[in-house]
Amino acid sequence: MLHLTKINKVFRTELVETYALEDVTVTVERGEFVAIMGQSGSGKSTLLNIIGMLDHIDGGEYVFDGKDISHLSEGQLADIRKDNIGFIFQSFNLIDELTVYENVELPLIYQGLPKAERALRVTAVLEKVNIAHRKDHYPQQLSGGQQQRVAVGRAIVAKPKMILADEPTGNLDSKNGEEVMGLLAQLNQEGVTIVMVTHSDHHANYAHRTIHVLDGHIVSSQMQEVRCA
Amino acid sequence: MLKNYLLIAYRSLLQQKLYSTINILGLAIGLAICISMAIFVESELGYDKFIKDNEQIYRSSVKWMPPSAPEQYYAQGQVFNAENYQAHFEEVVDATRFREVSVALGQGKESFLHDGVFLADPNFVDFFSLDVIDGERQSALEAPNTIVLTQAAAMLYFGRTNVVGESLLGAGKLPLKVSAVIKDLPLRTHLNVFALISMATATTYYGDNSWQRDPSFNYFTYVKLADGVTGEDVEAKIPSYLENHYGPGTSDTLGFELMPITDIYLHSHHYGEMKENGDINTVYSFSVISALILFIACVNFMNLSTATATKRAKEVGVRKTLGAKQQHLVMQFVVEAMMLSYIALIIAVALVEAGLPLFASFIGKPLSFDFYSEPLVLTTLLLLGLFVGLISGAYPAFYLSRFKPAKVLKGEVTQGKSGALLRKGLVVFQFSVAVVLIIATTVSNQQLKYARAIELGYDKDNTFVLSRLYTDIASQQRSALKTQLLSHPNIVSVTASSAVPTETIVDAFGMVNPKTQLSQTMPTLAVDEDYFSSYNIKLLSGRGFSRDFPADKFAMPSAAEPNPRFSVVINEKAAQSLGFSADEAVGKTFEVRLTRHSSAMATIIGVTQNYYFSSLKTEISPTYHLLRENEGNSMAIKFKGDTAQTRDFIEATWRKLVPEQEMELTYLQTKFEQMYRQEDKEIIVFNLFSMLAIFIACLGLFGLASFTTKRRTKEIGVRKVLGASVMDIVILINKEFSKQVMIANLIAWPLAYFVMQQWLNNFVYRIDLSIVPFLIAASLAFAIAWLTVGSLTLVAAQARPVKSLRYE
Repeated sequence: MLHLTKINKVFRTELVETYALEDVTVTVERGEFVAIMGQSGSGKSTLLNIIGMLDHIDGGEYVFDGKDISHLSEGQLADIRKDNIGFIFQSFNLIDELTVYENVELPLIYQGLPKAERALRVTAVLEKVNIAHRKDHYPQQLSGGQQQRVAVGRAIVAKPKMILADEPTGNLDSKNGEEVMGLLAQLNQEGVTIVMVTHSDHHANYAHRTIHVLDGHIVSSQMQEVRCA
Repeated sequence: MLKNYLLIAYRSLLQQKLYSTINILGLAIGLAICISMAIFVESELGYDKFIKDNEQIYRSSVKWMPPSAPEQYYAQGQVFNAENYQAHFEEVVDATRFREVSVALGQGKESFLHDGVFLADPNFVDFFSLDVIDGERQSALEAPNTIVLTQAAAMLYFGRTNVVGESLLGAGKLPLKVSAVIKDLPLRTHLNVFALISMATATTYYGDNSWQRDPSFNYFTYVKLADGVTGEDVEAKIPSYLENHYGPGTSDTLGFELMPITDIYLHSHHYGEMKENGDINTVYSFSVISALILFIACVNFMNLSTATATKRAKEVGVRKTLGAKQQHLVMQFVVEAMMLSYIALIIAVALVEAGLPLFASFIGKPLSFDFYSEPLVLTTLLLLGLFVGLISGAYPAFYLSRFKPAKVLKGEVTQGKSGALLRKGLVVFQFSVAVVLIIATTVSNQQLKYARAIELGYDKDNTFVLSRLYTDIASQQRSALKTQLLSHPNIVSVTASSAVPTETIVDAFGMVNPKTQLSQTMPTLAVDEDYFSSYNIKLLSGRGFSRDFPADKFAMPSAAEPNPRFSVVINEKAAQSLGFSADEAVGKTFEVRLTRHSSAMATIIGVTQNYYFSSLKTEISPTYHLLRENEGNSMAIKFKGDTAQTRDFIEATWRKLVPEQEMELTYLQTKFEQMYRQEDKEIIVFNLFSMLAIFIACLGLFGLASFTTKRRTKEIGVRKVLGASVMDIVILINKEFSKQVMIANLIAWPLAYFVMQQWLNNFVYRIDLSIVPFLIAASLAFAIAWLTVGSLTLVAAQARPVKSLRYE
């Protein structure tokens, strides 16, 4: 699915240069469920952002779906992203001014789908994430778990090949957290590649493989022995 | 406490550099314009204030109400008006009269015909409180054959000013002795005085005393009223006076208007003014627009302060928990606003200091700005700063100080609905003003262009004007000049007249209307036989002057012919004022009062189409053309082919015939353009101000848009992650502002329509309002908004999405 080779990412301020990632090499296979773990500031979110093409690299090579994308423009990256990747954030990042339905519909609008088809797909996704009954509500009228279900719905509505989740359960209580993880596992079973950053060992157990990041380096990458589903 | 306020104010100013710059820049420009305009308006309103007792001095103009035509006002009246005022109105304590004469003055061979040479009553110098620098003040204009010169006149004729006792020659034969030299009149006066010849000289000048009963309307008449009496009081008594003295029915067609002397410059545009006056409408429009500009700048301040309120919310919360009351916080934010306002004021004063001389010389007005020496100006400035600070600071202060500490400290600052609505309202207001201004400038420019392009009624192209033919040496060569000039193949025609188009018609006789038998005035222009054909002025009926009819020629009464007869060609306006159509007028004979005791009979032989002799701004006056071959002060030379070659030939001919006198040759088109120079400048200033108003509105929009994009950074990031293109984002943010611009247009259009309709009604020849200026304004407003907002959004939208998400 994707292959990062010797990736560097440097953050510069006026005074210092910090390597957020240094010579990182990662491969994610199609259909894999990968968890990324590490302490705060270890570089795991940076890694996820690079995988998701939200941030550019300062060295190394990034091959996505067999294509070197290291030197593509922002516009070209946006096109790849739009068709292949869905995102879920810790803080949900729903747009306050749009209803649940409209939030989920947004990626399809940007893909240029006709209205009728959008309606079919949005309705189906809202059913799937079990939030259809609140489709006309605004994000601030929902609980955290409900908001994250909307965010999941929004991430999958465009049928991406891969979902990137940045601590998707970080702002949720354990019940809602389990619910969201269940959804992700189900998506993975349906064939969607998932890369997830998490602090929780428990939630990392949902993944096939866990990558540990420390101070900008990958310190281990191990397959799960037990897989809970 | 105040120190703390100032410190905080200073730091927050530094922290929010962009918004502070926008605020200060906008306010500074607004204030600078306001101050400059105040100076301009004060100067325009201050005309003739130097005259002592100016509140009690009025000019008497003649109001002529022909039965079938609109009212006409004449700035000049009859010679006996002044004494009649004193004899019949006890309210009148003093009066003076003077008439302009076109007498070339000089020493020896060189003489100059200059504007502003008057025959004046002995009390003239005192009446208008002029400064005598040399000679007797009281008696300077008593004796016949005396002349009072201004410094400028003394310099022109003698090259020095200590010239009392020296002699000048008027019209080559009239000896005049300089009895006094007066200071040049201040620039701010409607009086156009260059030299004053004593009224007693009129007897020598005209040959006898008959001028004292001269019925022509050539005398400016000014009266001084007793304290406590107004012009209206006297005006009310005028109809009965006229009925008593001129017979019943007179007041139906004739009246006198008393205008305060200080009003003349801005309000009087009568026929026969001493010089072109200013316009009160310019004063109004400049005042309104500068006030609007300042207000737009204040609006920017309000907008940006409330928009950036969230940044200050935490500070408000902390201060409140530490015991600050709302009034403390209001005070603090007002102090901040004041600080900005005064910084802006200092910049504005510097801008005015630097720019005023340029502005003054551009509009050709004497403007000065002495804020350091005039306590009143300084106080006004300080109050202006206070006012602007309060206006722009009050609302944000109350808005900010109302935040609830519990909420803001938890970070729950909502962008209040009312605040957002107000901001949108203010943006709508700014854009409404901008749209109205764009429409106003477009329409006024269109109207101006249209007015300039209207059929003048005469052909001004390819015409040279040869001036100063009234001097002794030149007048002797007049006919030789004409003949020799015509010998060149390039020269099509040559015609001499007492004045050429673009100048004013000075002379007027009195006449008896053949239809009503009432006296009325008769503005006359002396022309030769080729005048109408040369200028291509169309005749509506009858014929023009012709060499085949020797009896056409004008003649003054003489011993041999005490009651001469001659022909006149009048314009359509004159026919109308007599109560005739163009066809009816031809053949009518009427009495012309040349002097009180002698009159002549004139027969109308032709009626011309109306043509714009003077400015397009003044209405065409009734005009009576007389055939006076040797009266031409100027000669119009129509040519074809090469301009330079023709010019060279004219010059060579002049040098040959009049070698002693410098040639004065101008191009008629140039004279025409000069007539509108002032108006053009005012339009440029107006356009400039409109652009500045729009610029300041843009500044505000820029600030607000940059704030909005910042506030929506997260949303922009999310949308991009979801696949939005840069264009999608730009359109999204622009949509919000477009709505406001749309509403602004909806408000501005009817307003502009109404205002411009009113304005256009002032013009005799006017355009019809079309949709075009409105569409131009709308497109410009949208373009400006899109460019301003679009450029900002573009930057935000192009950033990597991770940046916008991290911002949160």
